[in-house]
Amino acid sequence: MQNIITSSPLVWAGLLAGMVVLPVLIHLINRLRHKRVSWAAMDFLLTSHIKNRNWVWLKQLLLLVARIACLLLVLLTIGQVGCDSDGMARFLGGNVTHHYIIVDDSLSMNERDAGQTALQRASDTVGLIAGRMSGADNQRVTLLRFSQIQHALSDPGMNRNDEETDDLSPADLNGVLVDRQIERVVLDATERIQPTFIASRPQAVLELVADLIQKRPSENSLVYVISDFRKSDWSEQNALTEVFEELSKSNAVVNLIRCAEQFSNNVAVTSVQPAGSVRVAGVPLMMEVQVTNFGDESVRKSRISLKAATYPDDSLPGKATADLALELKDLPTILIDEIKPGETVSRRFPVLFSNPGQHAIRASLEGDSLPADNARWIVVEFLTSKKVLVVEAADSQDSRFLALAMSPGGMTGLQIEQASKSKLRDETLAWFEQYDAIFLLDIDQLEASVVNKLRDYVELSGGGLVFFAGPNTNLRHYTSDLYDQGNGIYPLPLERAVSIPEQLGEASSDFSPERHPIFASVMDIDFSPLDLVQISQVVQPPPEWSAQDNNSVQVLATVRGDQKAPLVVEKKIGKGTVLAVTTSAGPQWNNWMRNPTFPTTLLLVQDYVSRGKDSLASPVFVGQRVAYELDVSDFRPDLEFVSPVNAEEGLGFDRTTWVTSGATDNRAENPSIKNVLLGQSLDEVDQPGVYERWMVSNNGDRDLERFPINVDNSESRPELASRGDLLSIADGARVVSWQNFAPSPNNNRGTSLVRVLLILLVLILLVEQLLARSASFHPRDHSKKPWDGRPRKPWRGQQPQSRGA
Amino acid sequence: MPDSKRFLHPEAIRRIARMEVRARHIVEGFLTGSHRSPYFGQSVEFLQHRQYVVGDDLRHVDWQVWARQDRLYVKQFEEDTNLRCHLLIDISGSMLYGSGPLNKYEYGCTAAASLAYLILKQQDAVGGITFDSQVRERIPVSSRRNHIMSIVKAMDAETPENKSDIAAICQKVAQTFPRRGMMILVSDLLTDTDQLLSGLRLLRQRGHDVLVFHIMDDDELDFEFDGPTRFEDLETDAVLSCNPRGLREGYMQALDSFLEKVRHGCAKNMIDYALIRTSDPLDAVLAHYLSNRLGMHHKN
Repeated sequence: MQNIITSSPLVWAGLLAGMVVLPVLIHLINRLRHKRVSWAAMDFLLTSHIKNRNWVWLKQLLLLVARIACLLLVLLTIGQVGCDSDGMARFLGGNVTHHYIIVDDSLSMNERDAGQTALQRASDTVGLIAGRMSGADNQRVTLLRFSQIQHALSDPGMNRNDEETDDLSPADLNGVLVDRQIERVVLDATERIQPTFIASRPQAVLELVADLIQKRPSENSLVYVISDFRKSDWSEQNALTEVFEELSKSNAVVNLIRCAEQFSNNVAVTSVQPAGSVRVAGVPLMMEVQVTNFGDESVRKSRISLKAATYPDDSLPGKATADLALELKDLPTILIDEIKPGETVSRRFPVLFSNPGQHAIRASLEGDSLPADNARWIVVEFLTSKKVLVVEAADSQDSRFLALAMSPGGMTGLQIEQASKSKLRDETLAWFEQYDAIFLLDIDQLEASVVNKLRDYVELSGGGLVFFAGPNTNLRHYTSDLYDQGNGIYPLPLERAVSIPEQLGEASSDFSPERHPIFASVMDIDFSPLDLVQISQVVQPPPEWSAQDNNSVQVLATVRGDQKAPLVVEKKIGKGTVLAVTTSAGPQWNNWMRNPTFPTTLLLVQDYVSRGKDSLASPVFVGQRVAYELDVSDFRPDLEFVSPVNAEEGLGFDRTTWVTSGATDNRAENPSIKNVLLGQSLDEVDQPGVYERWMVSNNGDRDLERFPINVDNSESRPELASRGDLLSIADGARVVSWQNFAPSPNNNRGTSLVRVLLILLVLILLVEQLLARSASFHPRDHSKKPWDGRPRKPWRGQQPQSRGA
Repeated sequence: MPDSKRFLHPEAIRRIARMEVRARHIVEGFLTGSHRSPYFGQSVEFLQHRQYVVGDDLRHVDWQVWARQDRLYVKQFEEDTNLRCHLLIDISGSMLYGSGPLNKYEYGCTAAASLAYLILKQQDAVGGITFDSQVRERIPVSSRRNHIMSIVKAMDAETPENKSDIAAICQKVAQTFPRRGMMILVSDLLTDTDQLLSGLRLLRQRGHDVLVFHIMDDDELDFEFDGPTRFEDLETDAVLSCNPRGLREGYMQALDSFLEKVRHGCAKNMIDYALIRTSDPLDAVLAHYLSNRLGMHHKN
C-alpha cells in the first residue's frame, strides 16, 4: 500500500491503535453511564441473566469488533489505500487501470514553435495526465519513450517472442502504483526526457505495449501516444494498423495526442561526401555537400558553415586518446541563394589536410526550427600517396605519357609504378591490392592465373582496371579469354582493328564522349580541346555486339563515323570497375597524349575506377549499435570507444570514453573472433559527431578508426499526418491536440478498492446497528419511559385486560 | 359518548389523596355505571309484601295471604349478611415498584379499600391484615359502616420494606380465622411459588373462599427496558447491571412460567385468580369480585 498515510509507519500505527482503542473506551464509558432501576421481579431477571449470559457477552463482543472494524474501514477509505497485489485487487473486485504513456522523443520532437518544442509540450501533457490520476486508487502508470524501447528491442539478445518477456526495464516508469505522490514521481521522470537525435519509429514501442496489454487481460488499459505524428512515420502503414487492431481487441483505450502544429520549413544537410577519390595528404580533395529543403516554401540565403578537424598523427606508439589534440579550422562558408521546396542543392568545396590520417569535416546550416538535422559529419582518411600500376609491353614507352599525365611532379598525390607483364604472374593478390588502379597498355595477352588475380582484384578488392589497346593487342585472346562471352573481365569482344581516315577541314571531333564523370573536365565547353584529338586506328567489336545486351556494360565514348564504334567502354564487376579504351595510350593510333585533356581525363579515370577501393563504410545513424569483430589472437579483448558526448559540435575535446569488453558471442567457426558492440547502452551512441574506436594489439600497437554518426533525415520532412491518416491507422482512437486534451475523469473504469471498502463499511454498519439494537443500545419506544409524574394520555375506555383472567 | 368509568382510571384515582374517599369514589362510580344490581341479599327478617308479577320466584309467594285473600303476594325480607371477608394485603418491599401513577402498593391498597367499602355497603363484614414476612396490622372483622376508616388507617400505617412470606401468613390466617369466610389476597405474589400455592391450598382446605388479586406493573409484565441498566432488588441487596433487551426473552419466559404455574395452582384449588395491571382501571377489581360473588352463590 502506498498512500499519504503509509508514508509514515508511525502515523499509520498510531491511527490503527487509536481506531482499536476508541470503541473499547466508548464501550466502557457507556457501561458506567447506565440508569438505575429499583426492581421487584429480580428472580426472573436473574434467571434470564444466568441463562443468556454467554450469548449477551458474545453479542457485545461482536458489537465491539464491528465498531472497531467500522473505524478501521473509515481510516482505510480516507487513506485512499491501494493494493499492490493485482490478484488481491481482482479478488476484491477491483481491476487495475494501467496508463501506458508513450512519449515520442525522436529528433523531430525538437522542432521549436512559439518558443516551445514539441517535446516540452509532451512533457507538459504527461504532467497533466499525472495530475489527473493523482490520488486515484487501483491504478498503475508506465512511462515509455520511443528511443528507449526502439534501442532496447534492437538488442540482438532480446527475444520479443519469448512468452515470459514483459521486461520494461528501459522504461522511465514501469507499472508504478498511483498514489498521491504520483504527480511528483512522473514529473521527476519527465525531467529525464531530453531531446534526442534519434529518428525513432512508433512501431516497436507500440508492438511492445500491445503485447504487454495482451498478456495482462485483467487490466483496463489506457494508452496515451504523445507525438508530433510525422507523416513519414504515421501514414498508411499496415504494420501500425495491425498493432492498433491488437490494442482494440484488448479493449485498450487509445489517445493520440498531437504536440506539434504544421510546419512549413525545414532545411537539412543530407550529405557530405568526397567528390574525388584521391585522398592524399597535401593534395586538395573536393568535397560535395548536399542541402535539402524539406519544407513547402523556398528558402533563401542559406549559409553552410564548414569546419575541418585535423587530427594529429595517431600512429605514434604510446599515444593515448587524451593526448590527441585536434585542430579545428573554419573553411569558407558556402552561400546558397535559393533552395526550392523539395529541392536538393549540391555544392563542392575543397579541403586540404597536410598530414595523413583520419580527418573530419563538419557541414552545418544556421539554425532553423529543427536544428537537430542541420549538421553532418564525415571522416576521410588521407594517405601519404596513392599508388597506380602501369603495365605495358616490353618494348613500349607509353607508360611515360601516363606517368607524366597523372603525376606531374607529384602534385596529384599519385605514385605511378611500372611493371612488366611477367611480374604480374609472380605476385599475389595482396600485391595487386596496394594499387588503386592498374593500367594495362597494349598488352597482347594475359595468362589465365593473372586474369583470375585481376578479376579478384576488381571484383573483391574494388580495384580499377583500365585497358588500352594497341598494335600488340591479340584480338582473339581478348575475345575468347578476357571477354569470354560477356563473363570475363574485358567489356567487349574484339573483332578487327579499323583505321580511321584522317578528316580534313572543320569536321566533327574523332572523340565523342558521353556525359560521364571521367569526362567532367571536357563537358559543357564550347570549344573543347578534345575536339582536336585525332584517332587513326581502333579495335572494334563485331557489328552485332551491343552494350545494351549487358546491364553492367556501358559505352562512355565513341569514335567519329557512321558506325559509332565504341572508344571507351565500362564494365562493373563486383566492387570494382573495368574500362576498355579501344585505341592506344601512346602516339601509335592517336594524338591524345599531346592534347591538354589527356592528363585531366586520365586523372578522372583513375579517380573513377578506384572508387571501389575507397568506398566509405555504411552510414551509421544516432542510436544504432555498431558491431565489431575482434580477433583476440591479435588484439586485447577490450575495445576503447571515444564518443563526442558533451563535445563542442561533435568534435571537441570533452569526450567520454566507453570501454567495452569483447569477450562475448564467440563464433563457433573461429573462436578467436569475438563480437564487440558499441551502443549496448543508448547513451553511448545518442550524440551525432565523430566517434573513435581504439584497439590495442598484443604487441601494444594501437589501431584507431574514426567514424561519423549522423542523424537520420527520415524525420526531417515536416509534413504531419492528418487526423484522417491517424484514424485510418488507429480506428477508434481519440485524436486530440495537446491544447484540447483533458484526461477523462472516468479513467478509472474498474471497481476501486475504496468502493469495496465503502461497501464493506456500509455492511458492517448495518450489522453493527442490528447488534446494537439486539444488545439494547437503542431506545425501543420513548412512550414506554418510566412514568415521570405527569398524567398519561386520557384513558380511552379500553376494557381492562388481565393475563390470567 | 361519555364514559362514566373514566374517573376510575388510576391516573384519576391518584388525584384523590384520602383512601376512604378513593374507595367511595370507586365503588359509587362503579355502581352508578351498572344498570342492574348484580347482587342480591338474603335475610330472615320480613320487610313487606308486594303484589306478584310474572317472573317472581314462586318460592317467595306468601301462600297464607293467597289463602285468605285469594291474591298472590310475594314476601320481601330485609337484607342481612353472613359473609365475613378478610383482606390480606401484601406490603412487602416488592410492592413499591411502579411505573405508572400508582405503584403496586398504592394500587393494591386502593383496590382493597374499594372492596372493603363495597362489602360494607352490602352489609357484610370485612376485616383484614397487612403483611410482609409477618403480619403487620390486623383489623378485626366488622360490618359497621365506619369500619372502612380502620382498614384504611391500617394499610397506611406501614411502609413496605421486607420480603413477603405468603405461605406463613396463610398458615397464620388459617389458624386465626377458623370460621369460614372469604379471603381476598392482594399481592404481587413475588415469593416462593410452591409455598404460595401450599398456603392458598391450606386456606381452601379450611373452607375459605379465596380470591387472589395478582397486582403487577406494566414493566414487570412487558419488560420493555432499553439501554444499559442497573437493576437493584427492592427486597434484597441483589444487583444486576445488564442490557435489558438482551435478557428480555429469558425474562418473559420465566415470567410466563411463573404466571402459568400460579394460574394452574389456583385453578386446581378452586381459587379465583385475577392478574391486574396497575394501569388497569380499578373497577376491574370490583367487577371481578362481584362476578366471583355470583359464582360463589352458584357454586353454593
